Amino acid sequence: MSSEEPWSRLLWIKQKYPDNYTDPDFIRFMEKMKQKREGPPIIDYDFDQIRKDSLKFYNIFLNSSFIYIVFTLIYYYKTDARYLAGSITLITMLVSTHKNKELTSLLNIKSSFIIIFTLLTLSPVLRSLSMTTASDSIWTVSFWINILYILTCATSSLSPSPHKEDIIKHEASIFYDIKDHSNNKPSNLATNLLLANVAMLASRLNTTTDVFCFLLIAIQVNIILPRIINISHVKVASTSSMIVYLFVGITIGYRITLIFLISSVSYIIFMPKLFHYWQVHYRRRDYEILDLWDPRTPVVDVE
Amino acid sequence: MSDYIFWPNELLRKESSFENEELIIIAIKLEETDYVVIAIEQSSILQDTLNLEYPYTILGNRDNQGNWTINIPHFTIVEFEVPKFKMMQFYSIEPISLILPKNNTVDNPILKKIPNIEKLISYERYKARNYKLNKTIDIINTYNSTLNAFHHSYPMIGKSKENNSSGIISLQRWYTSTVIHKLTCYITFYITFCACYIAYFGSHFLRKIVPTLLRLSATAKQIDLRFQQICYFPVQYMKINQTKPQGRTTSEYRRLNDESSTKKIEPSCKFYPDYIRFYNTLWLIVNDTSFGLMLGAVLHDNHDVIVNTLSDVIMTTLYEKMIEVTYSLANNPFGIKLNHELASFLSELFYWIMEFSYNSLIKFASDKEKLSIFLTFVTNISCIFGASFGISLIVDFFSLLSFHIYLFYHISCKLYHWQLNTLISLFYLFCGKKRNVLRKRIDYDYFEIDELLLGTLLFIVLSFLMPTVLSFYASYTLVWMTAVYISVFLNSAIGLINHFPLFAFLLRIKDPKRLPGGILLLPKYHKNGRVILKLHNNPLSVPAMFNPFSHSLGKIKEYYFSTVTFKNMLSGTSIKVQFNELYDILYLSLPEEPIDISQILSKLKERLPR
Repeated sequence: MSSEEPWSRLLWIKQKYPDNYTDPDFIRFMEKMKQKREGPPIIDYDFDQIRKDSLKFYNIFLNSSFIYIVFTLIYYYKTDARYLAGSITLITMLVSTHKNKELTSLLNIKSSFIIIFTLLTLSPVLRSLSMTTASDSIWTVSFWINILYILTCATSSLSPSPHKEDIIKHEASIFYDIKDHSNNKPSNLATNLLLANVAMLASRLNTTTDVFCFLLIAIQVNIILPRIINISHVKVASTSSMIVYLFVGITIGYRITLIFLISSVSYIIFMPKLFHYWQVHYRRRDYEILDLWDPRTPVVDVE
Repeated sequence: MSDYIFWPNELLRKESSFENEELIIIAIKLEETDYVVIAIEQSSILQDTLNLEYPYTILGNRDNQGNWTINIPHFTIVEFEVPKFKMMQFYSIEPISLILPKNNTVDNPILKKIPNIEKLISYERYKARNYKLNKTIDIINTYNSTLNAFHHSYPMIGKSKENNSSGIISLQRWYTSTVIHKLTCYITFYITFCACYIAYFGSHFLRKIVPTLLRLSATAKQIDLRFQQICYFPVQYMKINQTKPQGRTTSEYRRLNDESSTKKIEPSCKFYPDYIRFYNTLWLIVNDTSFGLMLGAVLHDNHDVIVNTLSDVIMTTLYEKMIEVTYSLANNPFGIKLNHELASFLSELFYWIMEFSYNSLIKFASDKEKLSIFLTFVTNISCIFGASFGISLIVDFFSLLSFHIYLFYHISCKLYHWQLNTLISLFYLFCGKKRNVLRKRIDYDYFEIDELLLGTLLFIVLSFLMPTVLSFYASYTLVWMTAVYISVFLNSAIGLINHFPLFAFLLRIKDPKRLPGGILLLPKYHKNGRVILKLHNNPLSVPAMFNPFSHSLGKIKEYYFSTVTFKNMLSGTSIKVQFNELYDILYLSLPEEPIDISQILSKLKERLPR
């Protein structure tokens, strides 16, 4: 077969090759795979990357628990939400003045105004929305939405294989380079799940002011701040860990905090190792073939 | 290709009477027909005129041993019974149409989608191939007049059937010449004239001046239908009477090659369906009136009971029960906790409508005195004009009374539909997707925080309000659908009264040959190694007679009892009583446009005796 164009593994392209044509590349690839399987397992997995990903998961979990901390403070301990909101807004302002130039690209004045006015308009509506619904069902729904949020957030932000240099660069500073959109943007679905969760919880609060402040705090802590600062950074992560453990310790009791602490530490230490071990020893290598030779779905116009 | 020889049964009988004699067969064959045997004669008679002119030919002969020789090489003999034209029997390839054939050639909705279907259908290849057979059937149907024409041109061959005019006919002739007949004719004509003009202008008024009323009211539709029928009567009458069977002259057959004269040999049975339709309509009107008398009698006898019950029923079902339903919806129905603010707002709105309709309608409708007057009116109307008018008055009364239910349904339907659509689009936003208008699909898109925030908050708010709207929508839909089903049931009763193929049905029982639904060729017996076929009349099947009605029923089923209806309910598409669709069946035996009455009447006038 003398043809200028190389054979490509796409069914929807008209090619000059017969239907039962087998690409020599495929046979070469299969032979290579066979040799690889017979030889000793080659460890080409990056342990650092696995560790980083599982830490990120942990950080997202920590971050989302801030919602519940703030909610408990307002709903249960009757803390004045205005002071809380004011302090959080102050922190956000401070952080954003640090990276003022980039912030304008992320949050311009128009959209922040829209956010404020939307919150102001919908707060009274939200407050009276779930009056007839039982609190328990709201807690249950909120719990499941939060789990969904953590899962979608973690899976969408898991970087497939960033270059080593990039990781080092990210490690270096607390603040993200905001122009670099590749890494720090969670998916829309994750953001929406978070907002839904927050709105559901807010509908339980007693006054409109509380609703507004709670929404404002949650949006700042969970959406705006993670875009500006790197929550995976050691300083940030340890600060938030400290706050969370302290709060849990004060409110629920030290025994539960201890169990919580032990389980999270063991998660941080053992989980990456376990995962790495699984990857090296049990992961099916056929995936490598399937990766290359799986049936691809063509993009076809509906019309 | 072999030729067909159509052989009447009566000639077979004649043939058997001539034992041991030489016979010849004379047949008629036009340009585009098969042979139809018209005479079997002793060959001695034909000695003088051996040359028969076109279209008559000598087909063959029989020697004195009884052996036949046919002059054409390949042939098949088909025996047939000569249809008695006076008894209105005839053969037809196509089933006789009980509804007025409309001009559109393509009726099948699936075929309509194919582009250029009209052109395709008119293409020669797709046309029916039985043109020749059709022509032959025409000759068979007019067999007696063909025979008369033959005897007229060759009086020496055979004997013409004697025109025995009995005493009744002479009496009829005498009567037509008297002044009384003339007077009767004139009086009848002018009565028809007046009735037609009133009907024409009435129908014109309804159609042009108040078309909305015609669309909404069953009574108006019924009046219009009756007017249309009256307008159409003279047309039908003219069509029937202009084609009374007349003896054909030979000259007509001689000039058969002329294009113009072939058109004259149109089958007289062409207007026979009009005859059936005309009498069917007349019978139905009479039937309607007798039903009306029955209905009127029943209503009259139980007047007080009906008034009392109806008053109670209207008061409870249309007012008290509705109030009850709305109240329970506002106060946690079945323990479902709805959004209190929205539920109380909606129920306030519905209370308000209810009070309005109570003060303006239901109060008067449930008043026993007024109800009694209305019932007397319905009784009288149905006695005078027929049951269909009585029922349509009831339908209108019912739809007027259930108007507030329609309003409830419509409001909640709009709310639900709007909310559902918004929720769906917001759900796309929630998943980070967006409708691509250009490609008509859902694509991923990246939204800014403010968009997400607004969308999600609205989504949450709307999904919390959804159960409230849904419960209102579901309960009012249930009530409205009940009202719709009652209305549809009454309307189909009117349709049945107006369009029952009564005349055709009785005709089918009395003489199936008068209602042909096609022909049937069956092998009868073998003769000299040949199969002799027999032409049978295949009468119109009973389901085919009810075809328009079952079509209409199918439409009703499609509109109100199908999964599509259920889907429409789920998606919040409004469901209405499709009066126009329901009434289509009534107009099937009428032309689409009203007939220009003055022309018809002037034509009718020409036929008056002078």
